[in-house]
Amino acid sequence: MKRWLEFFGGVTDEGPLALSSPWWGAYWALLVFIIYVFCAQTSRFLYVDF
Amino acid sequence: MIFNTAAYYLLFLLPAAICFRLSSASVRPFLLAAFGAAFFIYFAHTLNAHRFAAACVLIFFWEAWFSRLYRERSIFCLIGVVQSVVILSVFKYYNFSVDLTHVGKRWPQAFLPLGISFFTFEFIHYAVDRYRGVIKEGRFRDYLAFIFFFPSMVAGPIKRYQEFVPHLEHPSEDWFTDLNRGATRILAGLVKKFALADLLTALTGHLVRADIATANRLTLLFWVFAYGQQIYFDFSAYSDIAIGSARLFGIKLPENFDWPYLQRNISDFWRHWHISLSRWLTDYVFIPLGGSRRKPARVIANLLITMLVSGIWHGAGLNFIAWGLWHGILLIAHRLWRQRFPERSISPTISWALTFFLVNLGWAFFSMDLSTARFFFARLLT
Repeated sequence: MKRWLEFFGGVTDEGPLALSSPWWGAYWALLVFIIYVFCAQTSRFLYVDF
Repeated sequence: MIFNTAAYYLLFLLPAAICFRLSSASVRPFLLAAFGAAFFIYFAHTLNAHRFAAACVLIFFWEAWFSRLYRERSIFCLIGVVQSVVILSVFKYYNFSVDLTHVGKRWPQAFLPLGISFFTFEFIHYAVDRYRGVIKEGRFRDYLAFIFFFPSMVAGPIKRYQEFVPHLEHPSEDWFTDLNRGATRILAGLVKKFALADLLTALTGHLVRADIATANRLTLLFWVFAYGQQIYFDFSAYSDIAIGSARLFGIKLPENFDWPYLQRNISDFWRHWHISLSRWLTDYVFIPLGGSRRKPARVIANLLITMLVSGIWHGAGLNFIAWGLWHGILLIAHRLWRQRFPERSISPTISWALTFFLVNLGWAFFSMDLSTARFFFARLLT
């Protein structure tokens, strides 16, 4: 589980599976969609502005 | 803000990364310094209403010039440390100390220069390591690039000069992997921020006196535990975006989080939470105080002082001091337990649950002012 989350979170270079470029494109599109859905509630970063 | 603005990506990150990749090694440091200075001026001006906020970029130029005087065992290194502490103290703690001691007059137009808590710690690191001889005299342009590297300028990770410069001279040539990993990390960080951290505001927004007064114990615990998850998702998201941004340049920044809430004791928690700060505090506060190679009473004092510094660094308020004290006490208790019962081990599940509970309970001090936090604990315990 950790390996999967770290790979798909961009933390590690080596992952449990090799994805081709179109699959990465689809994955990024999914992330952008999630960001688009939730970004209306923009708030400051908690840690930054102290 | 900043990392969730289009300006960051369109005006700074993408142009700077592309130019950096296409430039020769001799030009790259100047490029990072120019983009870093523009980044500071733009966001200091945009986010801070104070007219002198953008002018604080001069602090960086002063530091860059003054650092040329540093030599091994030189008094200038010590002056460099003192001036960084003074800069941080004046901007961040002056009004707090006036309110606390009633000595002097408040500074009504006080403002915080962008990223002051982080860049001053990098200045101190460089001065101390030059004093110790850990860092040899480097090039002016490399130091400029180090202090002006904008992805980590505002909230870390707190870099080390000797780890950063090799990346500057020989950035990764694997463009495809860097783009893939960097973009994935930035997008995953933004998802963490928007879809997880911000969503938890619906719960953490209740951590105010009026709501605490009417909530039952379980609800109070639920709210403060939600804050624990929110601050983790929030700051680890910020670190993800900073590290992912640096990756687009072919530069690897130090990691800041490594599953801290899965750790089974408080010492391990601090080795996995805000790692770059924990390393900084160990190297520049705990070890200079004597570290753990002194008498037990002195080690306990060293731990307490280090966590008090951590607390006060996190914010100018008594609640942050209390938060630092809370973690200092937990670290001391863990140390005494290990010394008293070196062979006895608790079940991994219980030790994990206890660590998770105590760390999350401690966020009460972080998330509320001291008076509200006291009210919170009074409601929780009575």
